[in-house]
Amino acid sequence: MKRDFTALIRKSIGIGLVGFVLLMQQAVAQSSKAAVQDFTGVYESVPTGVNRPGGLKNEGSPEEIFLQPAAAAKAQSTKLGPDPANTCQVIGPFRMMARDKNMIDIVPSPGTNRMFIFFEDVFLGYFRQIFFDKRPGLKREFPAEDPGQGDSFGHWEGDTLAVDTINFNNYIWLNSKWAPHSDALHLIERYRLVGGGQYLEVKVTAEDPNVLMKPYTYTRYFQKVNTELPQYLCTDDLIKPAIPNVE
Amino acid sequence: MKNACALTPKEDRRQTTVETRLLLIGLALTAAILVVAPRAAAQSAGGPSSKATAHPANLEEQFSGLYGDSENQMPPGFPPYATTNPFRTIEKVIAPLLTPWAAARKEATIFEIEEVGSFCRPTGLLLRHQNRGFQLVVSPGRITLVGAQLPGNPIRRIYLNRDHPKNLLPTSAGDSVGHWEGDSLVVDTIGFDETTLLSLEGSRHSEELHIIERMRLVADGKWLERRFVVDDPKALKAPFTMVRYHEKLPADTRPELELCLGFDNWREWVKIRNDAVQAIDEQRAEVARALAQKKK
Repeated sequence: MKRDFTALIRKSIGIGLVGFVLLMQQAVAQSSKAAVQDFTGVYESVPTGVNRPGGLKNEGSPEEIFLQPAAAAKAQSTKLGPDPANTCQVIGPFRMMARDKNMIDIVPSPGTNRMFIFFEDVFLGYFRQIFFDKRPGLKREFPAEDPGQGDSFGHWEGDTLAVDTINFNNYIWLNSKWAPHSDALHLIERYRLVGGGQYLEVKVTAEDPNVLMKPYTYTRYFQKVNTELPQYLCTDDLIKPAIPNVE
Repeated sequence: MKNACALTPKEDRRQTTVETRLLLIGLALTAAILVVAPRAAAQSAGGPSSKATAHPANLEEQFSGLYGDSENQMPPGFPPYATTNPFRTIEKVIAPLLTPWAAARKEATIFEIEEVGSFCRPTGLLLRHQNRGFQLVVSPGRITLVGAQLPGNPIRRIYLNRDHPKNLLPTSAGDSVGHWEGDSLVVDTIGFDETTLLSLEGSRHSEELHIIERMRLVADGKWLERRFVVDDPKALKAPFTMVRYHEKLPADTRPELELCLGFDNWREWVKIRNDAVQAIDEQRAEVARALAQKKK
């Protein structure tokens, strides 16, 4: 009977230990998931020059990048007419994330392992897809109609979403003064919620050793808003249907 | 001979009580760990992430995913595409239904100029959108359909938590609201402007265009069925219907996004657009002159 008693104690401790191991497994799993923030929602860019509580303030601009002499000369000699941002053309993520009066809608799609960023200015930005699966080969061929958004891959570093973007076509410029880029352009973005989750901080760094004097980083803040994302279709007001006066 | 290990009935009862208590303590500890700990862990995770991981595999999530083009596409065993009022021949269905107003508009329409997709504008629900693939993304309160042909069918939002707004501003995509009926998502869309077309032959609709769409998964969830009822009291004598099927694609599919024009042409887009607008203005003036002559 004493042996039974001892066995029972062992059994009870064993059950407890199994539970403890399960607890630890769940704790480890939760701790890794706890770092993943939910950015779902519509955000409006904080105007540059405005201070928000906690000292949140935009810093830098794509217009302030420093080009190497050859790249600066190329920009000077580029005469392609008006800035693409003024003619309803895609301007690429480096400029798009920096725009003032910029509304975005972040929608994760966990089933397809990606996250969407939709832009109010549809024709300038359309949407970005940030993939969370394994990064494919570095270079790829572009179709003639490639929209110039690059290939974006995200991973979590604590509470921050880090996004690497590569593979930009040659019709994307780094600012409104036709600053060029090379095949080596690499954008590194860091997204995190600040201000009690009411603000999204976005730090965007451009690295291009063939073009930039040094990597350049700007910071933008987006405030969460309780609204639907409007769709601005650029110059739709200029497109009128022919409506015959037959009534 | 009395067994040295034998217990008296009193000792035996005490032993049993101790055993039971130990067993209960062990079970209680395990139960506490399994039931209480996950909840506590979820609370410590701080909400959103735990919400995301806690979603059950519900119907909305089953709808979520990537879908291929619909033209000539049918699930195995379903009636042939020809029976669904196909995209390229639907004019046979529409033409007899046009009201005099719509017939006159069609007569005055030059497709190459007024099919807004020709100059890279959103084409609405009834041209490219009905036959092209898309990504269906579910988020709280809405479903977003994301097309790969950027200017033609880029982004369509279906709101699940509201009605159509009053004083709706007409747009090419209209305003879509949806609700679930059993296994189907029923989508009601109104609020269209008159920039888009009903068919490749240039049949027109008015701002009274009203599209009801029923989406459901069929063929073991491998296909999305979209049944459309298209009504427009001003342009159509009666509603017409069509059915489209989109096969679900592997979750890691990456649709190649396309601008309407290659970038070399894209930079000429402003000129293309302005030429088109000028042509439309000239055409409108010509129609007005012809009508004035007819009245005389």
